[in-house]
Amino acid sequence: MSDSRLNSVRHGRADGAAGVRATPLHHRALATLVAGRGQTAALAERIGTRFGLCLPTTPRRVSSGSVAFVGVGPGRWLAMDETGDGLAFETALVEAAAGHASATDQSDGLVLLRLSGPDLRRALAKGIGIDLHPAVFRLGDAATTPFALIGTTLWRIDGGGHAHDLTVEIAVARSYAADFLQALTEAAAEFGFDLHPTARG
Amino acid sequence: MTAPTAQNTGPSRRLAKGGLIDRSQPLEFDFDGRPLSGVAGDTLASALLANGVTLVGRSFKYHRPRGILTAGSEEPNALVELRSGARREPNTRATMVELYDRLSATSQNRWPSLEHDALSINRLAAPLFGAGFYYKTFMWPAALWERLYEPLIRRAAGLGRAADHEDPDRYEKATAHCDLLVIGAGPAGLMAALTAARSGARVILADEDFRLGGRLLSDAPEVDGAPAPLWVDRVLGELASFPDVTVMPRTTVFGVYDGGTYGAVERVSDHRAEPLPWQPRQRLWRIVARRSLLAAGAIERPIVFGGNDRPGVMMAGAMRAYANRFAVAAAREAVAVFANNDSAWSAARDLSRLGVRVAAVIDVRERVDPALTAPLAAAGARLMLGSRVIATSGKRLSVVEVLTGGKRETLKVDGLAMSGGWSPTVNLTCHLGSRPVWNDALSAFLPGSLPPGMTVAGAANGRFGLAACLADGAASATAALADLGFAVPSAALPRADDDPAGLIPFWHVAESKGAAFVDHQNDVTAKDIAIAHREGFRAVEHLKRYTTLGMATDQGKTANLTGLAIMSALTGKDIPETGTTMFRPPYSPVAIGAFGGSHRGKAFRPTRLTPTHGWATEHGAVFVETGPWLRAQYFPRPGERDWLETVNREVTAVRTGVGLCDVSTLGKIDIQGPDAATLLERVYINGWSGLEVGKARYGVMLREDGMVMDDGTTARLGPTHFVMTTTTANAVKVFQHLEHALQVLWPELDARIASVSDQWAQIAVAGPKARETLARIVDAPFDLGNAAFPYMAAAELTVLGGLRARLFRLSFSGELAYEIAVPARQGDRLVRALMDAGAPFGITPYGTEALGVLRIEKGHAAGNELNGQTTAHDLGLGRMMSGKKDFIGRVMSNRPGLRDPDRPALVGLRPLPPGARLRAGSHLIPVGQPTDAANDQGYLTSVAHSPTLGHAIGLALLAGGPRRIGERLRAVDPLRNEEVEVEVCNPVFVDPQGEKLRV
Repeated sequence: MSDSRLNSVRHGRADGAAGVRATPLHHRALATLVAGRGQTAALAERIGTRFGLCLPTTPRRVSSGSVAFVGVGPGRWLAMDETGDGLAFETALVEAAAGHASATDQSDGLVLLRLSGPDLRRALAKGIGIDLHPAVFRLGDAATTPFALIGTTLWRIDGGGHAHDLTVEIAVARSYAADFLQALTEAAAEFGFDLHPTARG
Repeated sequence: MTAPTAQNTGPSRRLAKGGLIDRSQPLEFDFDGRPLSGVAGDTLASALLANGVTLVGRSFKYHRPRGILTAGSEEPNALVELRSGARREPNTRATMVELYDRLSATSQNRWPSLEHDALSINRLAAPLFGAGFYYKTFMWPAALWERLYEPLIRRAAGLGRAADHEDPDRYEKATAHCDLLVIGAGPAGLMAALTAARSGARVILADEDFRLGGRLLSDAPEVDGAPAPLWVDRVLGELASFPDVTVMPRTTVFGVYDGGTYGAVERVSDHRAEPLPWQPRQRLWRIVARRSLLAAGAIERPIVFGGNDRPGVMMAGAMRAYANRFAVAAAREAVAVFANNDSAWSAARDLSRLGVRVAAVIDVRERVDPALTAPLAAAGARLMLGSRVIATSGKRLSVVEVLTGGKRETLKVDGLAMSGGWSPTVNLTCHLGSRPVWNDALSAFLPGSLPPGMTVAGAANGRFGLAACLADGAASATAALADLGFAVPSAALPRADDDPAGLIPFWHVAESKGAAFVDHQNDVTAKDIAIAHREGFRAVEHLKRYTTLGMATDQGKTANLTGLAIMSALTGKDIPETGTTMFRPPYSPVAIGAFGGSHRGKAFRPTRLTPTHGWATEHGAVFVETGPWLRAQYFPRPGERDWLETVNREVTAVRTGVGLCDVSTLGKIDIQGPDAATLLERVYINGWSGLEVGKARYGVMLREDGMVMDDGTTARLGPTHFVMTTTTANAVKVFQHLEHALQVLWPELDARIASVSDQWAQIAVAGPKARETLARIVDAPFDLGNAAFPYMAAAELTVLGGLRARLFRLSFSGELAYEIAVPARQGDRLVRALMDAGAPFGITPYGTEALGVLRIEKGHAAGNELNGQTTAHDLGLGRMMSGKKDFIGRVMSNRPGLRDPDRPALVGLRPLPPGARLRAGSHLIPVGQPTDAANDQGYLTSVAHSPTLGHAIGLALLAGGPRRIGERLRAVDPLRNEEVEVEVCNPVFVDPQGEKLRV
């Protein structure tokens, strides 16, 4: 993916405030955590002790400090650390799991974006079939679902705005990221789409 | 093309005042090249009528002149081509086209002009063109079908022309969710939406019109003692104040699907010459609704009488709508009304009140409520009760012939409003398979069993009165929402009256003179139904297919019931016994572009880019689609004549120096856990437990049926940690296969899998200089020496000063070769470092073409051979199959047919004439035998020019396989009419002993 695309600012409607904003999150360590057969409870206990949180057993995001876990399937999580490097985080997870799970670094496998803005729900509706109404897709809820035929996992976070505002983080396989951004840009263009520049990732 | 028609216009028929139009906003448009003028709020149909244009098209079969019949989406006649050039759109209903400035429309199905249509001679041949005409006439001689009959029929029939160029506009697809979907924004729909909104529900209100209100706009009643549009505005204003209420004008809910899903098309930009920036032309909605309320109203049905298709004959409700809503008099001089029901009298009253002269009201009933007749009598209209219209005449209607009191009388009028009563718009209730139910009291089909979650309110449910509609809308919404657990506040209903709706069933004037049309769009007449009856096509589905009744783009919205009623009279059965045809999606036509949405052209499906895509672009790569991936196919250099020269250079560089190729597209699966090795044993045909840590092995997987599914290498990174590679094409399929094995087949196994295809950038470095190239980037003290890191070794290491990497000594090319992987974001850095490191050895990037040549030279099976029809034995891999364990596909692979030594198996082929070319797909025929299927012994799966050997080479699946090495055969390509003699040889053309890859 060309980095120049990530550095542009406004796409689509140029006047007024952007209806949709996207910020690439380049610096987060990501890993797939897969529990061993029948070891989810033991794993939850270890992870709880190590990271101070309750490992979710449904499609939800649970966080503590810089670390978060998103349930993406039975006995399967996408784990993330805002401060760590991929290999170190993988190692930390392996140590914490103590054989009850395997961890696999995905920091390069996935591209992560934070999406927000008053028209985000309308823009995402052009690619995602599930209901993202704030009363239905609540804070911490997560889903694995395609956007414009591209597989994604997204979860709702507190964007700090009005309770009805939707802010999500969304993970896309890196090889699909350029096409994903293209489709998102097209969907958000009518609302004005700000793709925020960040330090290089 | 266009011949302006002097007659087809006249002085303005716009009424001096009134109407829901904005006279301060004139809009210029043209029809058949004639400049005309309308105002904001017009449809194309109302604007044409306002300009006195009453002849708008020619009919499908007989090319009869046709006018505007209705004012809604049921319009069968007024189909026009809208716009021009790439935006030309055929068969748009003028009644649904919202007028915009500089709109351009053209009549269709006429030549040379609308006024003088040469093919209207078909009318003289009408006896020939009756029901079953095609079945009877074009049967013999069959040879004439393609050359004569079909071209003739195609020219004469058909409607508009599709655009000749690619559609320049965008389309979108989107999903919406709600508690209650209200379909139709007439009185019942508006009342339902308001009730639901006030209870806090998420509501979508969709209506096909650009202005909401339905009959409240066209019938001009009063609500709460004031003109209804004021009430509509107030309701819409209140709806707009709710954040979870979405009002969707210009949106047709066209289909009902499983699970509370509805299809709708929003005509976002159809009311503009071109879409605004960033806007699609249309948006296809998938609406997921917990409950739906169908408030689609009713469609007025014609009466079948002689000349009922003449321009100037119109539905009474439509004439009323043109007068009330659009301030247009549908006739210049005077109108007559012909009906069997009360609503037509209300229409006549409105027309008269607005200054349109009503010459006569003709009703088949002997008695009509004096409250209805008195105002018209007072206005000077003749009241002709117990009468009927039997014929019309004039190119545009000028005379109506009436049978009254046993006598025939003619009336000079230029407009005739007809009404056979109203049919509830039950179409959507049938989409999941139920049939509507006949109601004798209303003489109409009412909804039968309903799709789950749907209720029906208002006229669609047979409640025709306005007050009844308002009450029904509120009550239905209240019930649906209470069912969902909402507390619905009660509110007073707006005050309104119920229109009189008395009716006696009447369908067809038996005394008709001339053609009496049932289906205006498909030119089906009452006589055609009689023919169908006479010839035994009496069941409703037979009637439909024999006559094409109801099979036009309007799906018979104005025709089905009258056709059914006429058949029922002929058979002597009642209507419910005669049956009804099914309504299926879409309710009205939807452009295919809307279904495609944004997924067209390059966006037809998503594209995956490799980690080195940017670098390859810089280096002039030509890209090729391989599955979802875009991969570098070859890297041409200036001065190279063609791709073959480029590919030969790339192959030679690998064989003599060093090359590199991005192989990140291979599927990569991380497999961990105590049972990881056991999983591999069960999915691969060969053994794995003995694989040492730090080694890789080639493996083959079978499907359950014993055929080869995929191949690849898997490396052991630790005692319980493997990383598997799959072919690019099967990456997803193999992952699913493993998931299935772990979740379904052996849930007791503790093996944990994760796709890492996107995590790692992987680059093949191949050629005699590969080790020297890599030595320049691996960090000390890693030893690349042949002893320390032999063929099939695997290691985790660092490169370029601390960069995490994985190195595998694997070779697809047969040369000394490695695959090196780094985290994907470092792929670009890695490829540039390798290019620098290999520069002294002339390192050459190569693409998928050279990759293919190299593997054919080595006789490696790839996608062409792993085609789902080959076994491990067929591919020469039979000896890999372990006899000491069970694995997926083992049992079935031992079926006698799959072990037959005469099965086609992999061999090499070389052409005997030096320099001859081989063609993939050529069939192998013994020398001296005829070229026929009986002698077909196999075919060429892969061919290439081998720059290493200097001639063409091929891989083939040949009956009997390797035991025929040395035989001569003919490779026959019947498609290109070529053949070449070939010799069967070992498929490994280069370094058959495999010495080069172990140096």
